[in-house]
Amino acid sequence: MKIRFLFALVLSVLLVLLSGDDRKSSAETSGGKRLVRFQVVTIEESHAGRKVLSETTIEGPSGTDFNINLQTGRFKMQARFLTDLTASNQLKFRADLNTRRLYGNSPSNLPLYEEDQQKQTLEIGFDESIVLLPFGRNADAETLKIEITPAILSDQANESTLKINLGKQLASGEIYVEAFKIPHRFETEAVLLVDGQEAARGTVDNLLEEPGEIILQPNANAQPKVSGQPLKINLTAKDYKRNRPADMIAVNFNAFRDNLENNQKEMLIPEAAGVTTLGGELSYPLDEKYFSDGRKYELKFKIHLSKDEQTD
Amino acid sequence: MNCDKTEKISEMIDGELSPEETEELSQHIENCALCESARNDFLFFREQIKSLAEVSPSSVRQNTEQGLWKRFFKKRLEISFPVPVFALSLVIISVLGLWAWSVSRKDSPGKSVTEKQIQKNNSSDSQNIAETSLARFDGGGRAEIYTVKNQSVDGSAKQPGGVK
Repeated sequence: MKIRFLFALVLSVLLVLLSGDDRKSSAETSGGKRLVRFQVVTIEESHAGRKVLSETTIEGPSGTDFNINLQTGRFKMQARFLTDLTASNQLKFRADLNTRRLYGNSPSNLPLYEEDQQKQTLEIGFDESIVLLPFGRNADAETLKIEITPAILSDQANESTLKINLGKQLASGEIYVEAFKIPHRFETEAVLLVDGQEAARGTVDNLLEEPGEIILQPNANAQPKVSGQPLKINLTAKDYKRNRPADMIAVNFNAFRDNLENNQKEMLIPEAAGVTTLGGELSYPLDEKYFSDGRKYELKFKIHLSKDEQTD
Repeated sequence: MNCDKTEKISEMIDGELSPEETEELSQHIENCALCESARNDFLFFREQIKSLAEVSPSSVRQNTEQGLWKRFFKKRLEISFPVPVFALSLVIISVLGLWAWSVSRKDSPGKSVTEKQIQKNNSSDSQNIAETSLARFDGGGRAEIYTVKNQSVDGSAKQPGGVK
């Protein structure tokens, strides 16, 4: 009897452990830590054919970001790519392209620049590539292309596998690639305080540089007017900075009152911004914006890393 | 016993008196034994001096100098540096000087070759940089970004790489 009991106990422990591993692997598959490779190739394309000018390979866990920088005498480009592996095994690229070209001189003989910024979100499979034309298309002459081809190398990766392999490089050094790994997923908590007492609360999972909507749900202590006109906040985790003792995160948000009676939204805070430490508190006084009844209304935010993210 | 005209006797002998003074003094000498004795002595000494050999002052100086140098040099040669040793040291110094000069000549051609090589490399690097500079693609156009399907060499769609 005792032996049977022990056998059953061991078996159940084994079953629990095995099922835990399955959960972990499914979490990894749904956008967790897989080893991804990006091949960045600079190509000169003309009527004569294609010629490879430089080649760089980046390997790292999913969520590895990289910059492609190009600088000639008159032209400068910084292309930043935030990458994420989605649940559907696609790669999501959030591209931020900034260019600056010397145009000439002003009447005061000061330099004039032509600047451009483009932001695009591209979702591609591993049978596709991203093509970047820093100088645009040129049907009559040679065109410079930068091709970014992703691939998955393995199902397991850790933060320390980030590396850049430099293959063929330009003698002029006008193109250089840098890669880095920062957290992309955050959990944001927003609380409404009325005279220092919590009246409503909401949370949202944020992806870096993508807005997330927080609906502050009134609790039992909330006044009827607060319950009837709850706050909704659109918050974007804008920038993540490595820092000590704690990493910093910058946020942009706007807040509006959702009038449930007439189903109308009224903007209370059009554009607000703030910087806080990870896990720290960010306060924003609403003053008379929410209700002008003599009470003190205040918003407080707390931002944490998402459960599947880890910091240094 | 002294005569005050004795001092003029030498002047008379040297012809420095006027004819009247010479006549007067000659008459005095005939009557003065002291002056006659002084006149005889002065004449005697003059004769003695004339009898010595006549030589010019410059030749005396020249002979004296030559003699001095000869004596000095000869002494120095004989006492400090015997001639063969001196000659040998001169030869050694000359050889060393020639060697040092030749070494310095060898160095400068090497340096100039290196400098030329560096200049050549720099110019070839500059040429390479000019050829590969990306500025030649800049036609003033706007940057673009888009996606494409991967193509294999034979034109068929490329298979996704790595583990899915």
